[in-house]
Amino acid sequence: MILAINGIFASSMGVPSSPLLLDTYPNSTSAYSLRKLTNAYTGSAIRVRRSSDNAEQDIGFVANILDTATLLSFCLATNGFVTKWYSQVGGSTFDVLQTTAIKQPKIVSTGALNTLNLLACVTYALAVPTANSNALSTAAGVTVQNGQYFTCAVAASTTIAAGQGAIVDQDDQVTPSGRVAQYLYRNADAVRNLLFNTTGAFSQVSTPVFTANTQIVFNSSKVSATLYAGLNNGVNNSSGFAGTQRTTVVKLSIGCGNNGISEFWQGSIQEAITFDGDNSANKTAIITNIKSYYGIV
Amino acid sequence: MALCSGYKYDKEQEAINAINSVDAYYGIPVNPNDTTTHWTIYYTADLNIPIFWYIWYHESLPVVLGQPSEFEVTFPPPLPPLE
Repeated sequence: MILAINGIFASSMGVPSSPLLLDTYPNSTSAYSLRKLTNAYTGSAIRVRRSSDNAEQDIGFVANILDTATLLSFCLATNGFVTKWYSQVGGSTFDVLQTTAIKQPKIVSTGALNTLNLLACVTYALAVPTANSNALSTAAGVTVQNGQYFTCAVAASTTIAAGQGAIVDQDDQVTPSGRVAQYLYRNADAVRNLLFNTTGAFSQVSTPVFTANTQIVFNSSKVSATLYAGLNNGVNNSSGFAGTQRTTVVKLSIGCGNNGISEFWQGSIQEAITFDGDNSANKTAIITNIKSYYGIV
Repeated sequence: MALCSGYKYDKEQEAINAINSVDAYYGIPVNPNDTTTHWTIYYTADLNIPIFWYIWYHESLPVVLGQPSEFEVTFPPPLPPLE
């Protein structure tokens, strides 16, 4: 099914829209996906290490989706691990990567593509000990928003147990000034959007609740002095943000918190995009585009 | 304080040598431009007295480093919960 919103054709499942999502909504500051999000991006989607000999290769797009034929051919019926997830906006400083082999999330398992609702996904697993769990972070600090933002990610969590897991995080948890934002978190079975102010205090919204093992467009935003969190295009819960927002430049992490040291996501991630500024007017259309492409009902 | 299963070294260079041994065994990096620079990483137990260096256990390591041991690591106090 193809949906038209404001004259723009959204995706049908597995077929990116034309124009691409970020060609229509261009104020994204970081964008990781296994589909192409903007025609302006000419790089690869991911870099993959295969377990057979630990060789690495960039995997790009064919017809604006991940080149799974090349990926599976490269992995030679073994496992494929994501060493780098390229940001399709902002340049290489926004690429998230993992230099330690045993901490790299997986995309090919024994020659089979990891999928969530039939489309490719990056799978994050919790290890024992947890320090060896999967994580991807930028190499250095970045800025993804300047006071207002909209973050959305397509993911599924294998757990709703007590504890936290990060989808999109910018909180180094080491230096007090490095605690900036936990844009998209799981807090047990709730989606959480948490932001620090310059005194080190934080404001958060930690609802609504979600179901485990379910593909969802997790989303959060800050508009003026209000934080929002939501699931798909459902009700957005909100809470006030008190104080002055931190602007420290710290690393951005996808699928983990604390620069890859803790608060590991358990499950799959297919896409994670952060927009700068107030995107209230476009939020529903952006989520609808994402839901259409991923076949989320 | 937490009980850690892994490999403990009294000198940092010994931990670096262990990391290098594992990298050599697994052929990391295959190419100098690869993202992956190490198979595993070592940590510093800088709150322990005396200080030491350690590598967490992983199923891929005994073939290179032998059987792991158990030892106690002092971690910084946990951050206030953000519940």
